[in-house]
Amino acid sequence: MTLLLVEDDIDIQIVARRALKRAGFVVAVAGNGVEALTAARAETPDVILLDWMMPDMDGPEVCRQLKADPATSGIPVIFLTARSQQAEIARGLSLGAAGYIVKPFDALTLGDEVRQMLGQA
Amino acid sequence: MSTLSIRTRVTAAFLLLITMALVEAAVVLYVQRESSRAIEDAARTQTILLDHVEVGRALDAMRVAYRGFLISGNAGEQAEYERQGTNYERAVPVTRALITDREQQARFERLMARVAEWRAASREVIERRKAGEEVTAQLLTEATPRFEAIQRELNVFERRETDINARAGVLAQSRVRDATITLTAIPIVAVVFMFVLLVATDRAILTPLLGLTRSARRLAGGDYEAPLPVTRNDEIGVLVGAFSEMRSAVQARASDAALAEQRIRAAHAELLAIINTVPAALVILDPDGSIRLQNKAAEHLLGVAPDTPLARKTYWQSFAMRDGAGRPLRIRDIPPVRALSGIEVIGEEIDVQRADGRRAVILVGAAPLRDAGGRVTGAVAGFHDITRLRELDRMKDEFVAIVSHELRTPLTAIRGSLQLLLADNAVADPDNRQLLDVALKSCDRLVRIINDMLDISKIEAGQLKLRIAAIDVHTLVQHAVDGVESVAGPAGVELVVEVAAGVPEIDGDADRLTQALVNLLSNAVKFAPRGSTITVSARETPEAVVFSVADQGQGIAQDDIARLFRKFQQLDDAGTRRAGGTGLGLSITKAIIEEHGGTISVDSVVGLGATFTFTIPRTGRTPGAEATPVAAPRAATAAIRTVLIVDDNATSRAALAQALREGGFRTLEASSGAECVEAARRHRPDAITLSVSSQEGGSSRALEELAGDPATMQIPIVIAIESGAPITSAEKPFDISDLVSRVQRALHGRVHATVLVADDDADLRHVLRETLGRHGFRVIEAADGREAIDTAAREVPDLALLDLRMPRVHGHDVIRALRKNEATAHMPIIVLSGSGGERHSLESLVLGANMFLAKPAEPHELVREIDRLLRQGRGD
Repeated sequence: MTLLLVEDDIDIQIVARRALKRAGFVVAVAGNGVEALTAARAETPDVILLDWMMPDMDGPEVCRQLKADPATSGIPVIFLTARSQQAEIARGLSLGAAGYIVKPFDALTLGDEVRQMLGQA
Repeated sequence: MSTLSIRTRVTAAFLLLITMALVEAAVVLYVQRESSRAIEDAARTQTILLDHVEVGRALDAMRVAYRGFLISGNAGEQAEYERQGTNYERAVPVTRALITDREQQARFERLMARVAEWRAASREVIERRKAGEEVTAQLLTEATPRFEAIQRELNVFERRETDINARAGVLAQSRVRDATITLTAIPIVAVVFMFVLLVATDRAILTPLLGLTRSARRLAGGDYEAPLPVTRNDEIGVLVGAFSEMRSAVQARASDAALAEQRIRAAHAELLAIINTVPAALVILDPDGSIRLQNKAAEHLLGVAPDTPLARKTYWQSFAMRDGAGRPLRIRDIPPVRALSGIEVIGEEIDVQRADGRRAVILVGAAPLRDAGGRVTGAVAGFHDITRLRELDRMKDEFVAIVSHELRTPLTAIRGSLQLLLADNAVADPDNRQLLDVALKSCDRLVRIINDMLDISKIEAGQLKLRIAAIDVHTLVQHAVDGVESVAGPAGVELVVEVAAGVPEIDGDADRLTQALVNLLSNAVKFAPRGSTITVSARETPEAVVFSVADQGQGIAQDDIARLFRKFQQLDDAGTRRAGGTGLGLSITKAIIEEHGGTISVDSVVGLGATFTFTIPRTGRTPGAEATPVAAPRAATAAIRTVLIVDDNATSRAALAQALREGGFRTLEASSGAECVEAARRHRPDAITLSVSSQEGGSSRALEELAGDPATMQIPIVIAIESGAPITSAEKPFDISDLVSRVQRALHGRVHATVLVADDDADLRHVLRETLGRHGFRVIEAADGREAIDTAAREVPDLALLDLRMPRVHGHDVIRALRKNEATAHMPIIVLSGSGGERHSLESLVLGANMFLAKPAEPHELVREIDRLLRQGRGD
């Protein structure tokens, strides 16, 4: 299963990639929103794990554009967010996200959570 | 005279008048008696004179007869003499009786004596003649001297008597004249006396009274120097004296008043100075809402300096005001003007946009000013500029959010790295593994601290929002226990769950209640000695479900219990360090419980352990009756429901999928009945929407199959479209939104929201009841405004649909009443009115309605909006 990890923080990229690879995902990484859109179109991953807060284009905007593009609108998007932002979570879901995972995530169960959210427990 | 009182003088005058009357009577009587006596005297003397003539004539006749007899010796003469003698004797006593004058009496007696002598001498002569004596000349003349003497005496007597008579006549005349004079004079004297009395009265009473009156008039005009009538010793004097005293008193009081006014002015000026100096903005209003006074701070804050009457009147129009929720405030709804109706407003937040465009968030307090009779004479309002405070608040929130994010990112990296290292046995050396273990635990602790800090910051800002849903108590407790099992196991503490059978569901935020229980449990684990037991239990009481967590630790001293729930309180520093905590857990737990309407308490016996007990109010539902339990929440991940869309038309599918995703669902798609059954078995969706199409006969078979399979029979099925016509997303038919809410209702175990329909049109009520009823709402009806208010207060519906123009109570007032009632203060209100127009809609919204729809409202639109408002209200 292919997964696109969109995360601006290099350290998180490393950890999340290791955790997901360990869980059996084929992981591609994008460091910002623009990269994410390009990668999503080019590789059409099975799922996108999208950081909420990013410097150039934030997660919700990336999600909106993904959902607006027929080529990528079918790809489930899961947000990585800070726990405090409930209102924003609701907004994220209304954008068509499949779910959200709160940081700090559990490296050992991250993959399972993604699968669970995709209905593939 | 001037020393006599008026009373004395009036009495004296009265007595004098009586005396005069008596005197007049006496004088009249006296004069009358005197004059009658005088007249009597005159009459008597007159009689005496007449009688005396008789006597004279009798004497004369006697003398003539005597001489005749002497000469002729005729017996006839002698008879005549005798007869005349008898006449004389008859006349004498009459006369004698009449004489009163002594001298005359004496004279008369002497006369009589002489007459008696003469008669005796004449009788002797007569006898001698009879005896034949010769009549000589001597004889004839013998009696003459005697007679002449008598004659003379008689003349004297007559003269005297005539004198007396004349005197008596004069006297009588004078008496009559006197009487006349007296009778005439007395009234004249009385008139004169009266006149004098009048003049005296005028001088003594009327003139001073008039003077006093004039003075009083001038005094009333404020002239304290007006002359007073000359002071005297009588009553008028006393009156003038009293008046003068009064004048002094009035003058003193007037000068006191002037002094007091001066003092008040000074105090007022002082107060103004103080008001102008205080940093709080103050405004004083007249009863008509115009500005009476504003201090410098208010001028600075609001940027308006009303210095003309017009400016004072239009003061409130110089800036735009909005309430805390951002709704525009009409002038009559702003707190200072509301205070004019006698309401006290404490600490209301409004947003003011000044004429120069600057905005300020202002905390307003306002109170009516009343006079001694309690009548409102104005209002005072204080403004406190909290713009900076709000800005700081916002900055703090932002800061906390950023910091937490910034902290989380490296923490995520550290924790993930450590977890992976440990999990993959990358580090073989046990000592090094222990170090990694320590690092991982510390990392977890840091995460907890950050989460607690965020929670506390939310709680303090009053932003702890609960997402209320029905919760199964067994699941909740088990979940919390699972959460601390990883800590309890290594600590050698056994967790025992005792949840009574049949404990009802509670309404609450499952995540937050789990957090509360986990806090209590991990607290207990921290302090529990190895080998001890922690019992977590739940039971029901008539009002609430009671949760308790009991440990067998060292317990808590009574003195410490009070500060147990305070922030950053750690009872045993050493213990806390060992266990690792922020000291925030209990105060967060308390806030969560209280936000649910419950209470938390602790019981402890030192050395035997402590029991934390909290209550969550019951909702009155029993398990399975209405709501299905929400699936146990995954620790930090929200469950997103999956809906399987079954439609043979790709465009329709896409449109439905889009709508459902917008509604927060994940979607799967199937194009036929067969696909549907397969997908349902494989993916176990939370719900299925089925478009029953005439082109595809498989739907009913699919339904049968789904219902027959135990794996899928529980999945709710929502019939999406009943006609065969495909739908497009471009058309955005209402059915789609309708579908979303129906799916939501199906998943939430049929919310069965109660909707109050208030409209005086019975037909319209019927239509709405039918429409809403078909969408799973319970409808209660009200035929007028009054009924709407009463029904809402009694039944507390989840939402109200109001007409504006209703009998008895207008819709606007219904909104007002509903908002005032705590139970319905936050209930969504949709105004459904035939009287369109911006004014009405704006007013409704300002009053607190959530939405304004003009009649006739499209049923689907209405249902969609009801659903949207109810969702907002629940916060999901």
